[in-house]
Amino acid sequence: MKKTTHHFNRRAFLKALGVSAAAAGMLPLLETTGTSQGSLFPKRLIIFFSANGTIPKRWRPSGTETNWSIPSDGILTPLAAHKSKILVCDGVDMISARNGLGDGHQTGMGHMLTGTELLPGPFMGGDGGSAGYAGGISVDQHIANALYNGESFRSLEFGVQAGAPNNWSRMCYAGPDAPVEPAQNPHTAFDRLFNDVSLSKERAEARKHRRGSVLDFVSKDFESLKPKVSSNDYARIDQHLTSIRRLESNLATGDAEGFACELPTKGEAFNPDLAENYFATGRLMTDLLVTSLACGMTRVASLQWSRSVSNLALPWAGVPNDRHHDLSHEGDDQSEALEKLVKINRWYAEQFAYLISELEKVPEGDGTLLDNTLVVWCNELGKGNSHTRNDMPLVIAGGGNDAFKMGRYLKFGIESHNNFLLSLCHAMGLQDQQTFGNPAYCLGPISKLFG
Amino acid sequence: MSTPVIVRPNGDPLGNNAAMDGICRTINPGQTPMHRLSANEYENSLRALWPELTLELPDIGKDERVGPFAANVVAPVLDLQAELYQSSAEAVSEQVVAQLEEVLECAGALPEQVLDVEGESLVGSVGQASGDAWLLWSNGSLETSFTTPAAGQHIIEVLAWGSQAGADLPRMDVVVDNVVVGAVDVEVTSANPKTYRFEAPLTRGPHTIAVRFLNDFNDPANMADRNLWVDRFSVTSAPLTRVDRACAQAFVEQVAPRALRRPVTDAERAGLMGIYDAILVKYDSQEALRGVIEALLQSPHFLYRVELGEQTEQPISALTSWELASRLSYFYWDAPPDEELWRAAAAGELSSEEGLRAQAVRMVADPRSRSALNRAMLELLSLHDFETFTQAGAQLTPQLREAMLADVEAFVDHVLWEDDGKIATLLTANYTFVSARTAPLYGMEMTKKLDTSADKPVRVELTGEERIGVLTQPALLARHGYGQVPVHRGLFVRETFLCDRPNPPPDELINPPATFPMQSMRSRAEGRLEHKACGACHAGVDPLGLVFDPFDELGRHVDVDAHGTPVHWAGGVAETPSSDAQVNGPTELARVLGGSDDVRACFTQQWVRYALGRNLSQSDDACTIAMLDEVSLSGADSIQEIFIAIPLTDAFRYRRTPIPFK
Repeated sequence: MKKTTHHFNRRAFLKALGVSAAAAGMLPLLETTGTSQGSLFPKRLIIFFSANGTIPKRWRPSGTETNWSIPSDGILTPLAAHKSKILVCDGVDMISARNGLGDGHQTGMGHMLTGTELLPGPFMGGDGGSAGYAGGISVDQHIANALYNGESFRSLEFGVQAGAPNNWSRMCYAGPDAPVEPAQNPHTAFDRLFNDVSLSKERAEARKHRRGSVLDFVSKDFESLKPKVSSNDYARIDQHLTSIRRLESNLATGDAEGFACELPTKGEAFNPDLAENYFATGRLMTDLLVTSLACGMTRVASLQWSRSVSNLALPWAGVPNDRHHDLSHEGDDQSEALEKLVKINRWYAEQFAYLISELEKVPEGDGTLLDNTLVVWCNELGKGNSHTRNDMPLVIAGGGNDAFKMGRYLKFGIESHNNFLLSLCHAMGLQDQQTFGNPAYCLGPISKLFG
Repeated sequence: MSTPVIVRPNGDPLGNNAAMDGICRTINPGQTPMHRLSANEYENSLRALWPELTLELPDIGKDERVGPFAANVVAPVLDLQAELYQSSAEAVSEQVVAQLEEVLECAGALPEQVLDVEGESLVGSVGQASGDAWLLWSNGSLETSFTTPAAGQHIIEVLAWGSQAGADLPRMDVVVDNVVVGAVDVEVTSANPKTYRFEAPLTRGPHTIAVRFLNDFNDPANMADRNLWVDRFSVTSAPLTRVDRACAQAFVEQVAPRALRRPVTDAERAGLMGIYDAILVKYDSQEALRGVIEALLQSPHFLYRVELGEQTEQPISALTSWELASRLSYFYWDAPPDEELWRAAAAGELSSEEGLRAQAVRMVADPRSRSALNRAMLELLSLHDFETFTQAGAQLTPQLREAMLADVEAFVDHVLWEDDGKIATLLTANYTFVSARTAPLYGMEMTKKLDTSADKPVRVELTGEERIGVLTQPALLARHGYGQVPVHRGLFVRETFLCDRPNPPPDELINPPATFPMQSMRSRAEGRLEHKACGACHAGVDPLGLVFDPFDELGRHVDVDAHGTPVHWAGGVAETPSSDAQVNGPTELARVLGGSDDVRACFTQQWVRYALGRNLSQSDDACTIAMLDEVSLSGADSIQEIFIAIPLTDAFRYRRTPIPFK
């Protein structure tokens, strides 16, 4: 990997300054909007997901808020080295998910970032009464809209075998009934992020000219269709038009400057849907995510490992034969299954630790990318065999410019998940936000998180 | 005295069926959402636009499913998907204009001479003009510059001769942009000048070219002088496609209606030519045509099956002929309308029941239906993801999955198109299809029966009580043979053939049923059935799945499970309108389901779901359901008749006139 400083415009790579890795880290940063507390770098947010709940008694650290430790044979053991940079939140209840349509996994997945009830949907059959997608915008997308400052992407979603779109498999929502598709093929994702590097200036110019005329036609086409379709289809056509308009406005915006970043090399294409490629896909997606933040291409990203009801075997976790969801439905007294679940969840903690470490490797000013990024690890369930959405296993890492006070273990009695989502908004600089998700479940931000 | 025939509002006779009388007097199409093309439909629609070309198409994303069938009817197109459509359109447009002569008659590809210069008209670094040529009398070069309009292989020709002296022939190099593209020994003299030919890949834009003489030899004492004469040289471009405006218009006339799947309006024509003209201001005609293609491929009328109906003031309107044509062709073929359907739509034949039926009959008999509906049948059987299904562990290799899938496809194909095509046969056929690779799954006896070289599935008769029809196909048993096996297998049968999905598990299960190591699947199922909170819903599921208990995760028949516990066939059909029964083994189950009106009604509704991308509503779609029941419960029990009956229903032919969104 070659490390250089790049200027990116809205997709087109303009030029590499060609400075060395060491020099890149010392370059003063030019673009400083959207930053706080003296940092020259913007705040970023990453949502990290793994599925099927955990084994709470093996997930929990021991001790008090400030005098705590992570057991050496627990789920969070791989995070022990990062203890000062994480915040473990125990006891947040997904109260909203006790209401509305959907089974435990579906509500867990749909409410996890939206804090609101699922809409009816056609997926399962019956007379329209079955559960569909989430009924509101997810917190990451809300924050992305607020923080967006002309970066290449409003947000970037990376999925690792996240499956086809349905309410078990989608967690990010642009709005009601509007699941955000994650990129699931690292090869294609690479092209989306970096392909323009290989395009000659002349060809890029020609394409831009063409796109201008094409998108103008297409948006008019959508515009004229909009009033003719049924009210059910209207929202979809309107949303598609919005996406076309964004492609149009992408043609006009300028550069985000001053970020030092490494361009990853594009590996060989492989089928990312094959079980044996799960880990390889996840690694590449993690690297792409970190690069996209380091290059200033977006401020909000997510990394979704599998989906709710994930039933993969994870040989990399030392559990080659049993499957995650099958195991998660064993009784509490099944110690063999329980140990396997601990291994699986610990393996996801390793992936989380890897993400943190990679963020920490990117220098930004006096600190690192991790210091300017809030990383939130969430799960759609508390515990697998009961489908409970109480005591959600939440781990926060990084700094986000020191919004939350890190290095602690917080235990809540009863705390609403919506309050947690609202707290994320506040931590990301949206302090005026009064409520998030269905306001019936939201009282205010959780002050303990802030110190 | 015959019963008077009731006439429906659209003029169709209602017949004398008392059950339909009440519900079919008005037309109710229900609410069919607008479809965004599935990945497969998108690909087929693109290929149909340029069947002459072998297009390389990028991944276009994953489909939503309504029940088991791909149907993009809820999630909107957000940034990523819009970009996928954009980059796909750009990839296609690049390939199409590169082969424009293949798809557009008026597009001529001719090479163009971009340089043709007489040697004597230039001034070389040495020498002098000499008659028809420039004479290079010592080492030196003759240079000029030129511009090419397109990148590609160029042909460079130099007419030259030499005067010979000394041991070597005159050596001539041809240099473009300071790179030697050719070097020859000039063996001809003024008596027989020769044109030397070279090729070089050149970029679009300005270039320099030089002809160099490199090995001057002069021996005045012997009157020996080696020189090079350059008479003329030329550069010819690669064949260059030329499209004039009329030809571009012809392209629009040819492609736009097919892409939008209906006649194009004058405004659309003007808009597309507007793109062409706007790009032509700065770029060439191919670049401009790329814009036209990209606009069509990102148009909502290409990406969606836009159904606006005949614009009327009535609350219910008929779909236009073009909309019906698309519904038909995507239903039967997963592809856009063909010539004959286009003709029928243009002739207005699809607006009558008779005309619609005629096309339906024709299309179902077409080989395209056979392959597309076989594929849909595999979707109905939840096998669309079987190629990457790994939940049965490492022994279910990709090759084995492929072979298992091929067996089911061969079986389904045979039942539908070769045998009697009955639902009952699908469930109770006493034959199956097996290949050498899958024979071991059926046991020794089958292996002996088969020619072991059979790499394609062949028909084999079934005897005994173990296997029957589609339900005991190893692929199906394996696809649902993971985790709590009876739940997965039971749910599959219940959802697929009884169109019912039980309520989800309770929100918070305080005391899940106890489990213990080495516990058998049957014992676990019994635990669920006896559990207060679980039993009510599992009653309709687990007994269905337990019928298949003696099949392992690969669909092999076993006497004991992995822990050595004996397995047996006892199970049942429960919680159904009219098919409840205790059954012992798959044969009994298949006979119950094969004779069940619940199953026939469900099977029909599954295909409406496939055709329309939505679930039928008992209230809105009462007449549609009644019309289909009349076919499916008639006793003929013909799957093909169901395929033909679906387009004749209200749900297929009509739509609610939209209330404008405010």
